[in-house]
Amino acid sequence: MTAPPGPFRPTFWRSPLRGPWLTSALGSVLLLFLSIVIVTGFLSHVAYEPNLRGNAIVPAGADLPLLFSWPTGPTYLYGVTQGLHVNVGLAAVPLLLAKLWSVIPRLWLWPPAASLAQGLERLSIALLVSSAVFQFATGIMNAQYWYAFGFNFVVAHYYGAVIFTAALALHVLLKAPVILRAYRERGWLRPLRADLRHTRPEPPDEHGELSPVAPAPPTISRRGLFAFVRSLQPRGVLSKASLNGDQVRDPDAMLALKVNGADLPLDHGFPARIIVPALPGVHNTKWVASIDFGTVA
Amino acid sequence: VRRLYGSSPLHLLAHLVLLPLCVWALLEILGGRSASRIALWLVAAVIVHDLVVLPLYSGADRAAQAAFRGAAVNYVRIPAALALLMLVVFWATIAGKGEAAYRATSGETFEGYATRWLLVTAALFAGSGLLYLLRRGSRS
Repeated sequence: MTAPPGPFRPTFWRSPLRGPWLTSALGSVLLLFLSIVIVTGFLSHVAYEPNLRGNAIVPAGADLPLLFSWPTGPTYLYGVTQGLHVNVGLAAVPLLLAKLWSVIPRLWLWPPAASLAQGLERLSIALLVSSAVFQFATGIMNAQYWYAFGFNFVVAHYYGAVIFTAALALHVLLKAPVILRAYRERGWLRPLRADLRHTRPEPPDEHGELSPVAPAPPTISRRGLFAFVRSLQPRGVLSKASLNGDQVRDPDAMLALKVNGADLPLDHGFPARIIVPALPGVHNTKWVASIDFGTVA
Repeated sequence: VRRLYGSSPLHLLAHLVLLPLCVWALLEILGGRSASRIALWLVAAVIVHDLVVLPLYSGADRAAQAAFRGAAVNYVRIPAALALLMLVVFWATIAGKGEAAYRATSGETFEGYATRWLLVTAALFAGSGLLYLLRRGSRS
């Protein structure tokens, strides 16, 4: 069965940079970034103590089990983990785009699925790409207070993260042999040594992975592409909340009435505001009217 | 298994372990609030990236390659890509989309980001043009 003309034909894809090594290298750096984003994201879910009464935004009992309760120190714990989540996430955008660009010929396979195994794998890739773009789009919008999606951000971003993490783990597991082979055959960093004049297409491989069959002359080197992607990276509604036992007993936990000797300004929670070290800001409840003590949930 | 399925048993096992986790999350989404909107966004995400955004920037890049000879295209391609990416990622701030919510929570406003983006874009192209002239000068 011959492929229909256009993108289904391998000769359509002409970039001389594409190949298993380039995708492996972009994917490896991206994986490092994404691991940080995934771990810090799920840490935020833990920090909100969704098991305590009134705290759950993702429906209670419909989330993955929490492995520990959120500590009160170091005081900058929440700031650092969530600063990493947002900034590493933003820094991963160009890498993600470059990685997706490097594998786009695989979207246009002909026939679309040659076996049950390939069909299943392509389904998981569809979930991976869809959840990746979804997570980045909703996260970037939320970080800039743009709530135009018409659904609850926390709930959608949480389940999106579950789909993304599972599909990513599956993808890395299945592609590990291809990645290792690309590094073994082509060197870990060797392709980065070539300047534009010495940039050659990756040799065609028997599995028809990604190397172009009819490459155009290069206009940028691989290291040029990496430098470009890296240059884009920056340096650098809740009315009640429940606290866990450690948070209540922490010596630095307080019900603040004054700041710098003056009554709290209204904006900052007059007459009283909860302050607990390392607690997500929105759980440091302002304008405290009442406090109850009780057991979990 | 290999003949019937098309790959190793390990391949099948990995799918059987990890895909159900995805299915569980999808079912939670579909059984929850605003299910159809989230589903729409999930489907639109992959379509918009793979069939709209990628072909658009590839087409623009091909047009640029046709207009400039060889590696000279990089002096346009790189500042243009940087400026565009910044515009897309920070659109909510540059276009003031998040302004109302930000003002409600902090009492502050965000202003002047569109001007800053224009200035950064101008600086990127100016820097790129300068580099091009310097490199061409040193070669001749």
